[in-house]
Amino acid sequence: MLLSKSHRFWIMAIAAALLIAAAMFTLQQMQVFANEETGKVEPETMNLASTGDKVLDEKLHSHNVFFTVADDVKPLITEEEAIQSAKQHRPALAEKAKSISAQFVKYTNTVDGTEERPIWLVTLEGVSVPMRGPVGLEKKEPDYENLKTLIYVDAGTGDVVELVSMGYN
Amino acid sequence: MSKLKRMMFCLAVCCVFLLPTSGAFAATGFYFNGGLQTGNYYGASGNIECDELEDVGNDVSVWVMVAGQSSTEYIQAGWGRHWDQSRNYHFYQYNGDEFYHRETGVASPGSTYSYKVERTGNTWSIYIDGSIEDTVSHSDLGWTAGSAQFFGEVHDSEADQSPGTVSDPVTSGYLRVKSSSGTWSDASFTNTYEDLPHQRNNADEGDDNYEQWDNRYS
Repeated sequence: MLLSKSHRFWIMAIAAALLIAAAMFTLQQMQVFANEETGKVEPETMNLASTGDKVLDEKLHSHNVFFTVADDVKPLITEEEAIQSAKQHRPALAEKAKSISAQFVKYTNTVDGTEERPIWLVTLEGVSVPMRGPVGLEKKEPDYENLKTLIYVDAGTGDVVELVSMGYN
Repeated sequence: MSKLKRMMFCLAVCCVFLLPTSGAFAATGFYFNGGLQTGNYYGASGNIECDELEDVGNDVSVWVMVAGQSSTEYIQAGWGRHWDQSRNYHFYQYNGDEFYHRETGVASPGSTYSYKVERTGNTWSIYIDGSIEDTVSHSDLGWTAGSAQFFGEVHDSEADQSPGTVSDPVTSGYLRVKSSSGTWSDASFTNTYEDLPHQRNNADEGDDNYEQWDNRYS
């Protein structure tokens, strides 16, 4: 059966569109595969919670650390209890901090395998742990405009999960 | 001025100039016990014993490290304790274009842990006891290595116990370095350090393991 010129045109157009869609789908799948290989999770696939500091967010992501919105669970300990736990963990740092705040989030670390652990993220502004070595070191405090110490407190038990100190400009 | 006043003035001046150098006072700083190997290394690793610390007045740690050319360029992993902590913690830390320190869990006295920092291509990886803890882009460090270092460190010359005691020294063993071509080999110290009189070790040039202790603790 012979097709008219206009039918042929539309059939070709639909075939081309299908080919392009298939190619895009394949590329997307390859991208996902590549990400699985490196262990990195694409931030856009997660319901990310910001610390309120965009630079800090990006630096944490570069360390495979992602905080996501925790709106489907409730913490068993209060914000005040979480801050108290962080203060007890590092009393000297807490005393030196310019301010202390807490945020209820889920914590994921794509390298060490931590997945959506509900925590209170306690932020100590303006302080960090001291530098350790190397031979010849003379300065104790890291020399950066921004110093922050983050203490992750388990939202169920109040135990300190880990501590991160950062300095950056 | 009376004779008594002149004598008191002279005594005060003597106190100002002589006492700080008498060694009777503790000083804060950085005091190292161990060894290093110079060279452009892509990794450092070792098995480090964790020991009880009787006194921590400031900061005590034991670690493996790759260091840059300047004294503020490094990436390290080990265990340590700050004065306001009640236990020893595993940690890793680096400094360069930014500073990053993370404490991941308790290090138990009596146990030996493996620590490793390693560069592959443009990525540094940090391992504690065989588990990967983090990856860092080399551009976030922003320096070229000048040595691999293996030390115990204290920040208060008097109030910090340097890791280990005379009867129970801290062993750092199986110390290794990774060359820029990617080959791991036994460390071979080119320099050893005992910064404080009570910081003692049995490290010699050429060693790839050593014991360290604080002479004040039996």
